Amino acid sequence: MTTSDSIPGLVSCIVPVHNGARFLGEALASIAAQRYQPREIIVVDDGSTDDTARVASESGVPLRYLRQEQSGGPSARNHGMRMSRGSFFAFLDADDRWHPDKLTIQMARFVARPELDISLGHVQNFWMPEVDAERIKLAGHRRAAPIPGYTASTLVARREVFDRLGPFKAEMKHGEQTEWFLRARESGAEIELLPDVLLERRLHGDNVSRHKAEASLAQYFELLRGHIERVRRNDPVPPLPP
Amino acid sequence: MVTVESRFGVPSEEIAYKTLDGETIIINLVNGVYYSLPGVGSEAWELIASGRSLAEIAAILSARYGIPSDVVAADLVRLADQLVTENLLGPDSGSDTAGELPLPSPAERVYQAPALQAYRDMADLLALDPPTPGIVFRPGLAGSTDAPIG
Repeated sequence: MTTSDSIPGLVSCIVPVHNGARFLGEALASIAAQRYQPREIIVVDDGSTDDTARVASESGVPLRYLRQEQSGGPSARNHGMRMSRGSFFAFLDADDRWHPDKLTIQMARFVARPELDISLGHVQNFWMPEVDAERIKLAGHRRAAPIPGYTASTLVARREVFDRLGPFKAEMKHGEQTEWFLRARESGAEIELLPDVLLERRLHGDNVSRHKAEASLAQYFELLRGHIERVRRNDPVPPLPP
Repeated sequence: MVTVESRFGVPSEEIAYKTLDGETIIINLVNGVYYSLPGVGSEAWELIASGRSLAEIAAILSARYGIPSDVVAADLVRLADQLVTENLLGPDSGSDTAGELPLPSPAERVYQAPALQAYRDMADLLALDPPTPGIVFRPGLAGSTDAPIG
């Protein structure tokens, strides 16, 4: 599969970041190393108070740097989409890394399957030294193997899908991606999960999911309850206003 | 084998549940399958999770709904058997059985045999980032709410 299988320069890559100076450079380098070059890279700084702005500007990666008052990851992703020009969206969290062929593989799928709305891949977790005890504890666990990546950082989606379904729910601080994927699925969007590992997800001492696990559980229950009610009524989720 | 004398515990690292408006939603965090237990099933779940035997629960629900306790007990054995098959219940862990559950309001006091509804359509959506505080090892985190996006 080569870049000639797909049309270049269609993807807006959006990198939301809050106090992510430690790993942002690696994340940006993994976008710059894509064999399929995106149309643009947009870093949305969500009110950082660390060296995020400097790391972005000194990364050597051509990008647009946007800053907003701290409003959370979903708000930053939505802001990046509003300010973007591409026909497709892709996202990368500032502590993770893309596989070098991620966009090549996924954009080829949109050529091969014109009806495709959303492309996803698998995720491989990796652990930083400060959480090495967790890596050891989870050796052989399913979280140490490639995991289906229903997460923004593996996603490539047509702009029209977000136009149709609406953006991420900015008021949700956790679980907003699951909510969006659920909305997409219930709406009948054409979703393809590739077997390829397209994202390396870094686990470290400050992952949001660690801090928010209890809160996210409460939000999952609300999500599931709404989904169950809609399944009983056979009533798809309504789109959010843009 | 499940009998009326059986007691159970909920494996807390693998199973999360919450009761909302008389319906209990249970998530198996290991495989992403989730379940609904409305009505009497929700009351039964809460009583089972409290460590009571099925016979004790049958007596409570029999008194609440005016249904013969052997009928309730048979329904509970069937329900508990399903819950064990789905790995939602494990051995009794010596839970505190103190405290009564509030009675449902009179308008709701119609007995219907507990029915476990399973939903297997979101396992892949929940696979990557299950809300599993019990599984994740926490190396002395500061507990900041101002964490990086990631």
